[in-house]
Amino acid sequence: MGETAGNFTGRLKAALTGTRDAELVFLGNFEVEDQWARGEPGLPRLTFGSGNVIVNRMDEFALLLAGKDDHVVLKGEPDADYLSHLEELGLDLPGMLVVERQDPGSTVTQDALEDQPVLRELGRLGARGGVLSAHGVGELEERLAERAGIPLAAPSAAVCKAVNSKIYSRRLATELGIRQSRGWTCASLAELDAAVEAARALLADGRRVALKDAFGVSGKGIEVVADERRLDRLHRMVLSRARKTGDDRVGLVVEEWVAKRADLNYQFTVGRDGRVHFDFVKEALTEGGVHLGHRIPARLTERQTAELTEVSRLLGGRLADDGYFGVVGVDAMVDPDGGLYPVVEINARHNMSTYQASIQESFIGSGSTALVRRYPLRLGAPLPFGTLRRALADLLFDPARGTGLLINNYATVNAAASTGKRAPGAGFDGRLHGIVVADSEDRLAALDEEVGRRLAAVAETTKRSAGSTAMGRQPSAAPSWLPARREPHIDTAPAPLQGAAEPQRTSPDPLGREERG
Amino acid sequence: MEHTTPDVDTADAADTTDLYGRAVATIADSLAKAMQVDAATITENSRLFDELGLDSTTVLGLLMTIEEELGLEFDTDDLEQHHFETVGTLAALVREQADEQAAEQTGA
Repeated sequence: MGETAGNFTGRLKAALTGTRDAELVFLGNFEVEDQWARGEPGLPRLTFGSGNVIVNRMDEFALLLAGKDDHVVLKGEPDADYLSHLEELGLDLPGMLVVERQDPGSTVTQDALEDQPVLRELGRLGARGGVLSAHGVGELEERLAERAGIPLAAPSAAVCKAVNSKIYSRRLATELGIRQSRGWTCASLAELDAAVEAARALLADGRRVALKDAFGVSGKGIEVVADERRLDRLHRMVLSRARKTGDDRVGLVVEEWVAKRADLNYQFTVGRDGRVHFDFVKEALTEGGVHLGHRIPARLTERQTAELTEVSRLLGGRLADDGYFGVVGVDAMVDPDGGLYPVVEINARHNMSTYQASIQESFIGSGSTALVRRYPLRLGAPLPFGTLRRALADLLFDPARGTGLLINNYATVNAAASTGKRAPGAGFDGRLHGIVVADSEDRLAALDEEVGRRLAAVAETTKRSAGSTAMGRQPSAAPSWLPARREPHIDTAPAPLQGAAEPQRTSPDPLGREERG
Repeated sequence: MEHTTPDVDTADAADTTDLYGRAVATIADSLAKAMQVDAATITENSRLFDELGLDSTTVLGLLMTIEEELGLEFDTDDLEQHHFETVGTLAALVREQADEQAAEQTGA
C-alpha cells in the first residue's frame, strides 16, 4: 500500500519479526476460535447455517493490511473491478496466492493446505525469508507453515490458545487489579457449582448473569440469564455432558451482566522483545441493542484513554511473560457513570480493527468522523462490483474530498452464492463491509443512510434478474431478526443512525439473545 | 400470540402427533416474538436459518425455550445440522427425543 500505509504495517512487522521491512504473507483465517474451542467443555456448541461461508471470505480483509511487497493467501480471486477500484484509490496491492479450488465451508488455511501450488509458493517465499502472519494461530496454521516450509511470525498455537481463554482474561485482570464485573472462572465442575450458587444471589437481587464460553468467538457463546430456571437448565446441560464424557473439566466464565453506556475495542501490539505499543481505541455503536459498527474516533476523555493505555502496558507485559507476541485486541465497556471496565475479554489475535488500521492512517483525517459498517444484503444473484460501483457512484470514497464509503472487503458480498445448497429461486445472504467517512456527525448519518438505501435498491435488482420472488421475509420484519441483533437489514429500510451508544437492552427476549459488537 | 401449550404434566406423552404440533407452535411462537412478526406467517416449512434468522448465537436460547415449554431435555450431543433445516424438522427432533426419553423411562 505504498508509503502511506507503512506506519501500522511497518510497526506490526517490527513487532512480529524485529524488522520493519520483513516480507509477510497474510492469512485471514477468521474465527480461529473454532479450533481453540475444539474439545473444550464450554456451552453446548451448535454451529450451523451459512454464517461460516461468509466469515470464511473475510480472508479478503488482509488485502488492505498487507504492503505492496507482502502477500496474501486468498480463497478466491478478488473481483477485478474491485481491485481496480482499490488501485484508483492509490493503494499498492500485495501479491496474491489464490487457491485453485476453494471449499466455501473451509477456512483459507484448510483450503491452502489442500492446494499444492499455494504450498509450493509459500515454501518459496519462506526460503527467501518470508514469514506467515495469520489472523490467529491454531494447529491448522502451524500445520500449514510446517507443510509449506515457511516460518510463522507468531508464538505456538498452544500459547495463542492459552492466552485467548476468557478464563485467562479474567484471572489476569484479577491478578493485575483491573476492574471487572463480579464473576467467577469455572475450570472444573466444582467451580461451576460454586459459581452457579453465587450467581443465584445476583439473580435474586434482580440482576442478570452471563455464562460465557471460554473460547467463544467475540460476542458468541454467551448466554444471558435473568432467572434461576434458565441458570439451572444451562447448569444441567453442562453437568449432563460431563456425566456422559466422564470429564469434569469446564471451560466457562460466569459473571454479572452489568449496565453499560458503550462498548469499546482497543488494540495494542506486543513485540518479540516484550515492548508494548498502544495502537488505538474504537467505540462500538449500538442502537436499541442493535450493533451498528465502530465509531472513529471513540468519544473518550483523555483520562479514559490514558487508563486504557496503562492497562495495555500491564496486560502486554504479562502476555509477553507468558510467551505471547503480536496483536492483541481487548473488548472493554464504559459504565453508565463513565467509569471503565477495561477488560471484558482479551483477543490475542488480529481483530476486525487490525485490518482497518492502514486505511485509517491513509484516509481518515483527524477532522473526520468514521463509522465501520457491515451492510447485510439479501441477493437473488451474485452482484458484481462493477454494478455496485455504478449504484453507489458518488457515495464512494473520494480521496480528494476525504469523505465517502471505503469498501474494505468485497468477497463477503457473494460468498454464499456458490454454496450450491440453495433451493431454486431462493436468495442468499451477503454482507458488504465498509467504512463511512464524513466531516460531521450529521453528514455521516446521512451518508450511511443513503448507502443503505442504494444497496437495498441494487439488491432488489438482483432478485428481479434471478427471477426470484418473495424471499420469505415479511415486510413487517424490518429490521429482520438475523441482523436485527447486530445491524439493520438492507433488504428493508436501514435504521437511521443515532449518535450515542445505547445501554444494554433491558427488555426480556424470548430466546435470551444479547448483542455484542 | 399467546402460548397455547397444554400443561406438560397432563399432556399425553404418547400422543406424538400432538407433541409435533405443539413443538411447531412453540418454535413459531418463539421466533415470531424474536422477529416481532405474526406467528401465523411462520409455517412448518419455514427455513430456520435462511428465512427466520436463527444463528449459532441464538439456537441454544431457542432450544431452552422449547425445553421449558414442552417439558423435555435435549441431548445436545445428538443435534445435527439437518435437524435445523425447517421448523418442521426441528419439531420432528422434539418428537424423536421425547420418544427416546419416554422409552428410557419405561425401560428404567
